[in-house]
Amino acid sequence: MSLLKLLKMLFFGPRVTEPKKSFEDQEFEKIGADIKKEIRRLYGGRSLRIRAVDGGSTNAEEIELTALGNAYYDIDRFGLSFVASPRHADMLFVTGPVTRNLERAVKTTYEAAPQPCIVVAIGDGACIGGIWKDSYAVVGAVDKVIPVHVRIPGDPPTPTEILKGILAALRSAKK
Amino acid sequence: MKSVEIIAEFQEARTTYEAPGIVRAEVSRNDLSRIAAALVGRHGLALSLLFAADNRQEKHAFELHAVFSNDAAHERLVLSAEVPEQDAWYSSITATVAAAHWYERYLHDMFGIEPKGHPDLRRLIHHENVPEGTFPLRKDFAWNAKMEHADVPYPMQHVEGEGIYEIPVGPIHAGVIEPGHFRFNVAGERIINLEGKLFFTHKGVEKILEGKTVGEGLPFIERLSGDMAAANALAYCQAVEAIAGIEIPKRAKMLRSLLNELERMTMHVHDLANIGGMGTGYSFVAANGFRIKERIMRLSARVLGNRFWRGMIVPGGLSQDFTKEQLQDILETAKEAYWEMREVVELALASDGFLDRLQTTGVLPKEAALAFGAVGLSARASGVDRDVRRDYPYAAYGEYPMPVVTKNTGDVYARYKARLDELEQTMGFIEKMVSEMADGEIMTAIEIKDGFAIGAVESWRGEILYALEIKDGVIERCFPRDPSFCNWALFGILGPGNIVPDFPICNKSLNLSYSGTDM
Repeated sequence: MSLLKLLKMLFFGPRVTEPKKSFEDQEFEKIGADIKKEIRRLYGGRSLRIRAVDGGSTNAEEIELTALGNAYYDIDRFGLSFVASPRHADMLFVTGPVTRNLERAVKTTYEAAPQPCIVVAIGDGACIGGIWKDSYAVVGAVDKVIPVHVRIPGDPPTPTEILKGILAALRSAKK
Repeated sequence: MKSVEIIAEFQEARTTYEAPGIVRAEVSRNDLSRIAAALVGRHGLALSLLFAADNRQEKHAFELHAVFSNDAAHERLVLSAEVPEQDAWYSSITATVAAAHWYERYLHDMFGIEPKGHPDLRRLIHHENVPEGTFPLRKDFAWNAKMEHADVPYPMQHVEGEGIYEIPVGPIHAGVIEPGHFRFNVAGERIINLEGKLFFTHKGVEKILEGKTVGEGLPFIERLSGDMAAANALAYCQAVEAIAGIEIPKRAKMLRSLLNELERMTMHVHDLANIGGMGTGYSFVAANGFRIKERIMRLSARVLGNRFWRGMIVPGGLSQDFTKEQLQDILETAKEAYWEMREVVELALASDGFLDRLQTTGVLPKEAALAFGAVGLSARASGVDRDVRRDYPYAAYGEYPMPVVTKNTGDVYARYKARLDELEQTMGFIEKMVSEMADGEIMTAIEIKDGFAIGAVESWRGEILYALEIKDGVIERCFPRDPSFCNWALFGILGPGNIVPDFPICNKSLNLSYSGTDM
């Protein structure tokens, strides 16, 4: 891109970002601010690390968890982030009805996380086994495999519902 | 050449059924593999599906069905063979048609039918915990059976030699993605052999569907793969409607196509952002792409009440209609998303560093794509000119044809550009659907009948096939074949030769569904 073209685009080009007010969601911002406070109360620090584990979901839950990182939600602002290893996690997200083939993986992930670790079941499958409950290939809800502290129902829950669930989880946790 | 003419060449085959778009013939279990080889090798048909059904109650035998696609004649040719209960084997197709290899391992696991002569009959779907002799798709296996926990070996490919080592990855990955296990055998950075172990999210959907009514089955179908709800529902409903022999109103057809293209747009935007941004570290593309995708998901929430294009397609038509204002909303949101995404991608494509990561990476040769039965965008990016929307038109695609996008280089770049080009076609199609939307009904009264049909849809990933048999008003057998099922094998081809750090971008460029494959 030539310099002239660049300058032209910068000064006369169309808008390339959106003004904040066009997508600011008051409810979401409020939950985020509360989460920030809770994190400080619980950990005395500024951040909460989450490890997401797919226990057998349909990938809809994963889509919503990924959406939490996009510019509309951007949960990093509130001190929340997904980490690559359970060793770094304060909180475990488990999705889907836990399948027989993933039972061991879910268990080992939980064992690898430092205690205390808050476990959150995300989606109907994870909370109650969903429509696949009792199938020969499915163990069932997450609490059949590891202890669960908070449940976020939904098919799948929306990003806002997930954030609300995180807040509820933190509020119920003792220091 | 018409399918009936082709099948007439084989004296061993007996044509049993003929209808527009489908021809069925019976063969013996000994002849099946030979005829299959001739159909694929000599006549250039593609093996699109291989599945079994348990008919031991009536005939003391399993039924085996191989579905071939005769694209030129727009017909599917189904070869059926009987496999006796006591002596459940047939001669393997894989020996000559590589595309059959997963289907046959699948049959072996789920029915206990042995494809004699199969070169690699390891377990596929059953993991270590499943006891020997478990055949979930046999009719005498209960859908809610409680199985013991066994520890049967699940061997994987392994290369030995000086300086060669193995990297196991997964099933729990570093990112927020689905579970699968991969073994990289490498020398230095370069991949020598790559094999995946899947079916971690196997939920037993195929078994659960047996005995359900068509309506009861639909929620499972929409939840086979979260990112492909509309396409799966459409393929399923088309099979149901084909059996019932009904035609849906024009408006319903157009709205179905519109939904399908909206789903394609959602996921192509996602993939352009994911490959371009997360795959290469060019986070500008990801940040903008995911923002644009969110807007399309919110559009779905506005017009359908959920973020996944679910709930609208039902047997007989649609469960709800769109108002003029909603259609206008769809058009405007789609247009804005398209133009913004285009701008973002064009900036990325002007970067040499970006192109370096995409070009010549993860090459899938056309021969391999054909041999392994690759489908969809990944196959078209390697020069395989197939698209269900053109070859087997459904919904509104007969009246409003979609041009087929193909590329020749078969690398990540080809798949990236193919998505961009398809996005352009999709945008044009959405505009056409909205501006020329027909008035009228959205439902045809449907009476569920018994019978067999195949439902086919070109999803954003590729060809979805449903083999559906209804008996006594309930589902007797339903085999949903996700395009990912065909394309997973491609990793063994396009992986080796690349360096390990390029695997994520190869993976993202195919974007296969684990849940859709595992069922």
